[in-house]
Amino acid sequence: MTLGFWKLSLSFDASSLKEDVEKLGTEDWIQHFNTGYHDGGWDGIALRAIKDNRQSLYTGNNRGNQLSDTHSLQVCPYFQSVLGAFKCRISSARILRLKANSSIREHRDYNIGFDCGVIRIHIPIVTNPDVEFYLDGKQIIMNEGECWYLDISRPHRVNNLGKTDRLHLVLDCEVNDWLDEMIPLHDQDKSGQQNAALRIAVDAIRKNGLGEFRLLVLKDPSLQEKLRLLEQRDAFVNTTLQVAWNLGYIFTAADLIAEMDRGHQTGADLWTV
Amino acid sequence: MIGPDVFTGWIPVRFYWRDDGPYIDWCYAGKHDFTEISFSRDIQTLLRLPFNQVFRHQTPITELREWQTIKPGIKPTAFIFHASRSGAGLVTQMLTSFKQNIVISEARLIDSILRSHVKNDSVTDANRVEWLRWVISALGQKRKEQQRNLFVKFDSWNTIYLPLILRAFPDVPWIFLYRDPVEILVSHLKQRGIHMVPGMIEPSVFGFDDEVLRVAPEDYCARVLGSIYQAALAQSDRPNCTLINHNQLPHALVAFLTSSMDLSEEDNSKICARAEYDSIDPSREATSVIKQLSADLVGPAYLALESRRLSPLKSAQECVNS
Repeated sequence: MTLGFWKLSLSFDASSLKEDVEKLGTEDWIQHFNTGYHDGGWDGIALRAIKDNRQSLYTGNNRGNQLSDTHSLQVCPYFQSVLGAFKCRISSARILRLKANSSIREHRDYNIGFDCGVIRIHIPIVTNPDVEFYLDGKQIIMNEGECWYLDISRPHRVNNLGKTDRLHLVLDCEVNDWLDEMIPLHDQDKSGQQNAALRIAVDAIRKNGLGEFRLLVLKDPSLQEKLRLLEQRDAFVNTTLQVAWNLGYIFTAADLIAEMDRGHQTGADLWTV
Repeated sequence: MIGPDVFTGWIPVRFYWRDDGPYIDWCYAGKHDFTEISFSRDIQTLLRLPFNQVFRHQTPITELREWQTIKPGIKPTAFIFHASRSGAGLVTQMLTSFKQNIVISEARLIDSILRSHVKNDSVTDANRVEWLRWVISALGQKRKEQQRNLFVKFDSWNTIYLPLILRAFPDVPWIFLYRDPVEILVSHLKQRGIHMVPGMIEPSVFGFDDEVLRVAPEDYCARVLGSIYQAALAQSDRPNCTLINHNQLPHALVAFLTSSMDLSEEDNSKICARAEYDSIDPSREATSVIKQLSADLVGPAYLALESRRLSPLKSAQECVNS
C-alpha cells in the first residue's frame, strides 16, 4: 500500500503567510459545511471557488468547472504567489481554521485522490504543538510553511488541544506530470525516508503523552487520589484529561479509552489458569 | 527503586513473564474487603474502576521483596487445602464474615507462582519459595485497623505443592478438607472443576505423562483426586496439620477456626450460626464404574487419611497398611 501523505519539497515563509491572513476581515469567515464532523469550531474563507458560488467552502470535485478568485485572494499577494508556485491547475483554495480546543471527528472524504485526478494539499499557516492530526491512525506533524499532500479518502481526524487556532491554506490541485513528480509515492526509496521521518516525529510527541503521564501518576499518590475514586467512565476520562493537561501532558480521550480497553483485557488473563 | 509508600493500598493481582523475567501486575485496592467467594471475583470488581484499567504498577517480581522488607504483611494464621466439593466454600463464607480476617481465596497469581516451573524450566524451587513468601506478604497487608488474621485458601490442585508451601511457611497451621471420593467424583462429573478437565492443568503437575489425556473422563478425575489425596497424606504427619472430613462439618471446622482465630465468646456463637450447612449426598448417583475407579485410584489414600485422622500418632506407612 502506498503512503497516504507526502511532504513536498516546496516550502513557504510562515510570517508572510500570517501577514496575509491578518488582512482578512472577521466577517469573511463562514462555518464549514460538514457540520456533522466537527463541534462548531471549524470555519474558513474561500480564496478560489466555483464561479457564482464563491462564498462556499464546498469543493466537491471542481475539476473542469469554471473558477474564479474571490476578493479575499485579491487582497493577499503572498497567497497569490503561493498559488503561483504550483505548476498545475488549482481548482479550489481555502483558508480553514480549527479553533482552539476543537476537533474534527474521524471521517473520509470522497471524489478526491490521485485516482480522481484531484488531490488535497495542506500548508499550515498557524499551528501549535498540541494540534494532533491523524491519518490512518498515525499522527502526522505538519509545521508552519511546510507543504503536505494528504490522502483524505483515508480515515482522518484532528484535535486542536492547544490554546491558539490552527489555520491551514488548503488547495485542491489537478494532477499533472509536475505534481506526480513532486509526490513520488511509488518511489520505494523516497517513501521509506518519509516513513522514517514520520516515526521519529510520532515518538517525540508520544513521549509527552499518556505513557509519561502514567509514570508520573504511579509515582505520586496525591495525583492518584484525584483519579481513583471516579467510578463513571466519562467523569474519569474528563478529569484525567484535565489533570494531565494542566501538567502539560497531552493526549486524547480516544487514547485514554483505548488504554482502558487494553487494561480491561489484561484483567481477563486473571481467569486463565 | 521504590519510595516507602508507593505500594500502600496496592495489591498484586497477576504474575506474568517478560523477556527479562517474572513480573507482577498490581491494582489499587484501598480498603477493599475481600469478601467474594474467590480472589478473582474481587479483582474483577476492582478492575471495573477506570483508574485500575489505566494506572497499574507493573514491576519486576523483586519489588515484592523490597515491599516485604518495608512493610511486611500479617503472618498467615492458617492455610486451607481442600479436595474441592468438600465444603471449601463454607470455609470461605465463615472466614469472610469476620472483620478481623483477611481471606485470600484461590488467588490466580499464587497458583501461577506455584506452577511457574512447569511453564519455565529455569525456575528453581528456591525461586518459588521466596516468590510465594513475598506475594503472600503483599496480599496480607493490613488494610483496616481491625484486621489481624490472614487466611490463604489454595486451589485444590495446589495441595500437590504442599512440600514447597510448607518449606516457605513451616510453622503455619493448615487443614486439609476432604470427603468420600465417590461423592466428590459424582459432583465433578456433573460439573467439572478446572483441574478435572484434562489438559487445563498440565498433567505433569499430578505426576502424569501426557498419555493420561486419552483416558475416560471418570478415570481422569479419579486419578487427579488420587494424586491430591496422596500429596495430603504424605504431609499429614506434620504437627501443624489438621485433617477434616466433610462428614465432620461444620463442627470440626468451627473448632479449628475458633482456636486459630482466638475468638471471643460472642464471635464463637456467631461462627456457629454461620456454619449452618446443608449438604446433599450425591453418592446415590454413583455408577458402578465410578465406584470401582474411586476404590482403585483414590480409596487407599482416602482410607489412610481417615486412619491418620482417627489415630494421629500413626506413621504414614502404618496408615497406608491399616
